[in-house]
Amino acid sequence: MKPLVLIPQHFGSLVFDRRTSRYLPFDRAATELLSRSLHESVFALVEALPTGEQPQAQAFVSTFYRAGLFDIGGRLCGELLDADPPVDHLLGPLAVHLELIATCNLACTHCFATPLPRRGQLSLSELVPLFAELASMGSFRLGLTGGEVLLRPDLFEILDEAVAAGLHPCVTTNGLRIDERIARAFGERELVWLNVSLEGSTAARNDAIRGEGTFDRVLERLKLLAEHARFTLAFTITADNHQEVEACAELARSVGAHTAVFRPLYPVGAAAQRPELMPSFEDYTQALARLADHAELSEIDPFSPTLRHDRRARTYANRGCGAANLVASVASDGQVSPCSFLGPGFTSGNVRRTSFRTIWDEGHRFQQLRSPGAPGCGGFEGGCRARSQALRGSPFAADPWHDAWRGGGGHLPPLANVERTCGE
Amino acid sequence: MADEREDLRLNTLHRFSKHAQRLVLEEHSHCEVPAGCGGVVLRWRDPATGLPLSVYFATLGEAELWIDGQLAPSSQIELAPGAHTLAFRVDRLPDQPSPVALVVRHGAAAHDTPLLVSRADGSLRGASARQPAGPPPIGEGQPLPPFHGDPAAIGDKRRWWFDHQRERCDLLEVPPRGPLWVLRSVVVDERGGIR
Repeated sequence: MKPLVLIPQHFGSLVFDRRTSRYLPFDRAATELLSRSLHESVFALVEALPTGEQPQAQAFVSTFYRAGLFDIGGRLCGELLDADPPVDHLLGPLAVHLELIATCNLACTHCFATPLPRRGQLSLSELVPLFAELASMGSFRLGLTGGEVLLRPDLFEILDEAVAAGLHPCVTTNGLRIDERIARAFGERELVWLNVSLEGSTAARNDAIRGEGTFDRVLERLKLLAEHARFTLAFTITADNHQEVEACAELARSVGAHTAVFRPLYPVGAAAQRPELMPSFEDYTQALARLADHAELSEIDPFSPTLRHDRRARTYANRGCGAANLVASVASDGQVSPCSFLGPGFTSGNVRRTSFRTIWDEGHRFQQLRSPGAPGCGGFEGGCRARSQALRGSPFAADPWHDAWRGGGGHLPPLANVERTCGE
Repeated sequence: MADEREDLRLNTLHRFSKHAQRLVLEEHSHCEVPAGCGGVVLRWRDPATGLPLSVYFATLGEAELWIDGQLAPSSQIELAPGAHTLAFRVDRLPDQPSPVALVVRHGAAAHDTPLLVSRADGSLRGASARQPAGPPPIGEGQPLPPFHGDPAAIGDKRRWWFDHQRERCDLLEVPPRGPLWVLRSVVVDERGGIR
């Protein structure tokens, strides 16, 4: 399998890099050059341009050669996805969030997936054609979650089918069912992320959310996991734990995690009934800033609608969020919505009855969220619609965190805007 | 045209022409994990993983890069600590000399001092002087003879390529005679150095 996939889009193309699981967007002129370099040396193509056009093309080629897009002979090291893109939105979401199971062995007080348990789940035989369809749409990133994914006995078959289709799966688990066999099975597979969730650096902080004894049991499981697989410790920043993110990072390193991930709590699911757990925007951004300043770290990779200004592309112009523009969600029973955080009111079809592509292209809620001038837009201009829904009463209202960010000049501490990797 | 719309922000041909240091734009699929739409990832570097390298190679014919007998799909490679053989297969153009030039940089440092640079005497500055033992990895070929020729007289057509890397390396002429294997052994040490 070649490292790159050139995915046609209405504005030009997206190049998916299988080595990093990332997407790079290009306009039409750049796409033309990249497409031709699938078969001809890009060096020769540049040298054949009119003299006046050569300098900018040379700079472009140098930049993306360094980014690993070409072989030493100047050929794009990829393949073209054969597809006709829609005229006003992406051929497919860049990432799909797939709820594999709606049952869990914990009852976290801020669980976004509640109510649990729920009946019905897509079988492996139903997932296989879905994976093929996602690959045909250039939707290569697949976030697998639940419930607790390890309660599905066919989890590793699902992972293998996803990878066989060309997808790049991420898995999120609470870790409690990891044993030697499972740790080895994870280690034998290439995952973008293997997230194990914790809520703090101490048993007291974690167990208040995830249940008595959970912290110690998870750390015990992590010893096994660290022997066989690369994994991430995933923390949710809340009003209770935002002051201990450095200790969380240290915990992650000490248990052998390859990465530590910090995300804010969203007021969805059970968390909608626990407003006291919601961090403020200031709590959250200050926690990120402290992580960036952490003496032990030499690199940070932040991802957020308000971060990464220098690197952040924009492939849609409707002032929405990722929902319906970049991502979509499939619930355990096959219901599809633009975002799992938005709730059942945003369901737009079911993959058991309608193709995912049709729902993505034509689903009512998908079209609604892509329409900047639709009635009831209500001022949403970025951030998170689920937060708007919870805090302002409508997913079309302005996200108060986005307002706070703009009120602060649209900036966060400089180190929070760069990508870095932690030192040895 | 959509690519000229001000409301989109894309990688374009002209984005990097006046600002060589401008960052490549990415579109983030940041909602793919359950609590997406925000956050931060801290990633610890694993010293056991390979040294990321950017390989810049120029010739007027076709070229391939082989690492330890395996065709490299990209110019960006990773070498684990230990000894390796870099092999460049060059299909020379018929009846004309082929300039060959090589620069190897640390993958994360666009403008640091290169780790390897081709020299007019056939050596690579920074590389082991000894030729790797054994035959080339595939096909017919021969170890690279000492480079010769007048670097200033050839290679103007592709000179821009190395100018963009801001590196002075010699363009080296080899005779027009069948496919050529350029072989060099390198050793990556545990601290990420190369020799």
